[in-house]
Amino acid sequence: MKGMKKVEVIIEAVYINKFLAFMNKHGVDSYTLIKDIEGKGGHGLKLADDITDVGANDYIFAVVEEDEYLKFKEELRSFIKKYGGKCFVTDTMMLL
Amino acid sequence: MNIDLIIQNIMNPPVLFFLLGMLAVFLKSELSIPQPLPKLFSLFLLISIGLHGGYELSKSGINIDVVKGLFLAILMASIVPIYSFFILRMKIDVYNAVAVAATFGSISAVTFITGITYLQTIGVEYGGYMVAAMTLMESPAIIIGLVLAAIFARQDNSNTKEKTDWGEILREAFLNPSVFLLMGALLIGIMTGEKGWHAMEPLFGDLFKGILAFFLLDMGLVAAKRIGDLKKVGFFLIGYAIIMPIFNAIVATSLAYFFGLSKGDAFLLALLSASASYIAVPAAMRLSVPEANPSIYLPLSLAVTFPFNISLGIPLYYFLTSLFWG
Repeated sequence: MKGMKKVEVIIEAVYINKFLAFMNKHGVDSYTLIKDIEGKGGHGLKLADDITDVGANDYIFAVVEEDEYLKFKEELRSFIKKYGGKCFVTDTMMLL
Repeated sequence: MNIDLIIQNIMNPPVLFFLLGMLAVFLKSELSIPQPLPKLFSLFLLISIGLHGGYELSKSGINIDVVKGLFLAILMASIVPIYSFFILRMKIDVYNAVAVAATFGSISAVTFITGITYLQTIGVEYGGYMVAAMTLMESPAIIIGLVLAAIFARQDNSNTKEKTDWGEILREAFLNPSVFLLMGALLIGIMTGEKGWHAMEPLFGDLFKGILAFFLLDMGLVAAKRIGDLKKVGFFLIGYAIIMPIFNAIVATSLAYFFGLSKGDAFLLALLSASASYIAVPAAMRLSVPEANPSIYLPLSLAVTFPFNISLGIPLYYFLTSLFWG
């Protein structure tokens, strides 16, 4: 059985298209996206009820094979470092 | 300045709803408007103002006054971010100076709409082409901001080898939802003329003030929530967010007088030059200048300049134009 990674990213809504393009470039074209999420982190409370999209956050997760993930891991790190946000990677298993 | 002008503006129901929204946050009320209603109201206002402007433009046609007004609009939208940038560079870094300059170089459609409501209340006429002028003033600041970033910021940091994606930036500048919708509604208004406007008037004319009040109520909530962010911004920038709009309005009024614009059009040009963007430009800056801190440029526009313009700026700029036109 192949090792799988679940990549979860919280990113500002203005960067979501850039991020999807980045993932697509690395062969990740299946994902789940939740727009306008709310929460509190290092930058304080982030609300979804803002008229401006700056500051609104989106959540995206994708499951990729570990070998594929290792190929873009460092680029992913650079992306998050540049545009901000949070990225979590966990081992996972696809049941169905 | 006559205090009656201020009272006349503040006693406008939409402006009072804006203040009510701010009060709700200060008093920790649970008042909120469910999303995405405010975004719908914003689209409604853009369509309404675009259609009405197009209809007015179809009546007046393109004449020398229209050409002069549009020229001045582009001129102001181009020079404001440039001189703002050099003023800001005295105190803040290149990236933030670019983002703040671009934010203040562009315009706020809702401030413009509130200004139109004020003119209607006091019975001063304005040209429908000013809607086109407003649309034209949205984008140049984005382009100029990015050119300034390309010249000064990239020069400073030779490690930054990343190329600017001009295709994406131009798309954001000229095809962002507000510009696209405004321009589209304006063209529809021109094409359909009086017949078209009368068909749409029950929705986009009669309900205009009510929807504006609803939208400004939400803006009051949003602006008041951003006031806390100002603690990190500092006195220089807070002062900038009030003094710079007044300075821009003086420049615009002087140019409008020199070029022979009407009083109503000059007031709207001054108001547009004094307003700052809080939707299109901050989003474009976040996208293209990620090094700039949105906790600086967004609260300045949203929590300082916008409330100032809506409450005191409108009567102040009208007073300014009255000094020239009488």
